[in-house]
Amino acid sequence: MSADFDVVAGNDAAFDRAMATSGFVDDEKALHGQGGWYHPAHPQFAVEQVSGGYFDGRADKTRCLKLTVLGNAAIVLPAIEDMIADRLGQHEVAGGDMSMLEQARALYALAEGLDLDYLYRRIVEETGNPAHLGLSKRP
Amino acid sequence: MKTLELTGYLAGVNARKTKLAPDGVVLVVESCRNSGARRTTGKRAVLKRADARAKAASVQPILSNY
Repeated sequence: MSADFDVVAGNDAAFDRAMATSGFVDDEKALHGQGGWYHPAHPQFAVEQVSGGYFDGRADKTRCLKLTVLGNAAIVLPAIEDMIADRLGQHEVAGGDMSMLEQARALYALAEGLDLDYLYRRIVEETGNPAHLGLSKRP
Repeated sequence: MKTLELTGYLAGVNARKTKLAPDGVVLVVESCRNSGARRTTGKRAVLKRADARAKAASVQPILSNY
């Protein structure tokens, strides 16, 4: 866990308006030029719009998980398989940063109903090593 | 897209975490926390500002390793 939420938005202007309508205020813009916000009622958190497509266009958006919070409010999260693959890929790039590997292992342990074929494919796409999860070959 | 209710979803995750706890399968949060070693300059700045805002508002900052 960290203090930031990374968001992928398909429509920059609409997302900016939605954030303002919800009471978020502009944070100083990050170096990559995307939007940044925080909510005055929760100053310890930051929201950042990330550049590029959703997992660089490799992940299947229909696998996202929509969690309803209050009334019509909801948050859409990446599929667990994509999060696991992302962490394993980062672990390989990081060269010894065990936190990414431990995140992947924790997600793998806690997840239910994983699509192992999709998970394996995504791990490979993210240049991760499926063997870290005991997946030695395509299921 | 699959839709679930947040409270129920979290309850399920916590139940599974409790079930797995005796086996030590799921490590404590600190073991999984991003070490921050590979953060970009921009991300470090975002997290530093969030930390400063929290302290200024006397709110507990979120440990983020920036």
